[in-house]
Amino acid sequence: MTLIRFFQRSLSLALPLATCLAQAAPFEMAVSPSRFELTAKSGERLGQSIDLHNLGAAATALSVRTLDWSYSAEGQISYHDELLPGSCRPWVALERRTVKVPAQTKQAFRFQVTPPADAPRGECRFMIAVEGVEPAQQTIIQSGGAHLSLPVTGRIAVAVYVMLGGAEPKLEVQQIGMREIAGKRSPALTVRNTGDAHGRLEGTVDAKDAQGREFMLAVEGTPIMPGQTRHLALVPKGEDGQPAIQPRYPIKASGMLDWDKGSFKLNAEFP
Amino acid sequence: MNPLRGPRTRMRPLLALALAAVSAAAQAGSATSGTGNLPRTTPAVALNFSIQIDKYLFFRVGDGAWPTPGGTTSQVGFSLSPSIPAVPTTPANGNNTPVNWNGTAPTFAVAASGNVLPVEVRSNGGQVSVFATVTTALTSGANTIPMNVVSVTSSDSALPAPTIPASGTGTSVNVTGGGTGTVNSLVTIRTANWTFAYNSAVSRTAGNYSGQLSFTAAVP
Repeated sequence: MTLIRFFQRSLSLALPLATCLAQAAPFEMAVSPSRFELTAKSGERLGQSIDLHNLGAAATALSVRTLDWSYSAEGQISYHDELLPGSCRPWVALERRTVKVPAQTKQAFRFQVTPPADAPRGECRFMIAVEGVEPAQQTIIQSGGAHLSLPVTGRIAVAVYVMLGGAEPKLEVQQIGMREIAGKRSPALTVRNTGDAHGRLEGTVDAKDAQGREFMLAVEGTPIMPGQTRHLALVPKGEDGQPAIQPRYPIKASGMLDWDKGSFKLNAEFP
Repeated sequence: MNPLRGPRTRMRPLLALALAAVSAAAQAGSATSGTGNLPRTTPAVALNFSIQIDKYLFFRVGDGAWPTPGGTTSQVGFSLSPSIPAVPTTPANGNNTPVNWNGTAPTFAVAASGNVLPVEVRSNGGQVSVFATVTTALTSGANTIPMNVVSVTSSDSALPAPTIPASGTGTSVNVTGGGTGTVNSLVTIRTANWTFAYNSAVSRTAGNYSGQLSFTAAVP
């Protein structure tokens, strides 16, 4: 049985199951870790497990499958049920296609990634989608002659990055300045990744605004995919659940921002 | 030979070790001492902590409030009442009653009830993204309604509701970090109520339509 047929069969089994179990219950799941960033060698099997926590009052039936995904320079995720060209999902083996987690307990779910011996250096990315089989909410729309039933289900997607054959990011800061990000003018860094694996910046820098107020600026920690150039916002960091301050410009900022293979020194004024 | 002698003899080194341990503990516990033979200073005692906090992501769709589990499932309903335009003649009740009609399409008034979906996101793993997927299209026999006739809005802009696509996967929205109970804005604790609405601007073929929608949270 080919792997594609294997996935097709698993999907065809999962759908009737979803139809049969129509009783709604809230979806209250947590996963840990929420993301895997792994290294592997071609031809070697890599085993990992995800802890699935059910915080609900009833057992929750879950269907588990893999998804392809991509991440745009604008920070938008796209998900694909179908295999994308170059997908490494055929290398992935899941412990089971469905799992039932009893109420208020956690359960480990194992998966393996086996890159073939001739797999080239690079990064393999996929998501493991953990989806409630039972709908979390039933939406019903009725009219005189029409009836609309719309169950809603919850799902968590766990990102898995496998850096193969020594693949690694290579980040460089190209520009520092003010930018329009998500409809808001914000201090930002323009970062390019010339490596062959994703990278991300982490950390905070000290900042002082025009009124002399001191605060921290946290860099957006979203991934920069190989070959991408992204604008990453520097966002005032809120403390103790309080909203972050709205700084008055200009802002002076200085400090170090880290990435996997080094760090960047930032010393800038944002007008 | 006294059978107890052997064991007593063996206990001596143990006792000596225990006394030495107590003595060391006493020295460590008293940083200063004024009299006697006790030392005035003690060597520093290193106590190394290693705490590992894994990244996690929690997503709740439906009622409930952390850490109390939910249980009651809300039922969302929309009632659509068609109304024929009342100009030039007001529609009359009854069978076989002719009325004048200017040809304008009937409109549907939507009365929503319980159309609120409580959601919650918690994570310490970074930027959380949420998106909607049309798992099964809204179909009734050969008729299909694009899923984007149903829209959803959030009570809190920090946990925005993703746009519902006509089919397939919609665009993702980002959840703002922080929230009540967080140590800082790098951790996310957000709750919101997402309210569904039905766009009745276009008349639909009567029938029983069923489909499925799923909301996904991820930390890419």
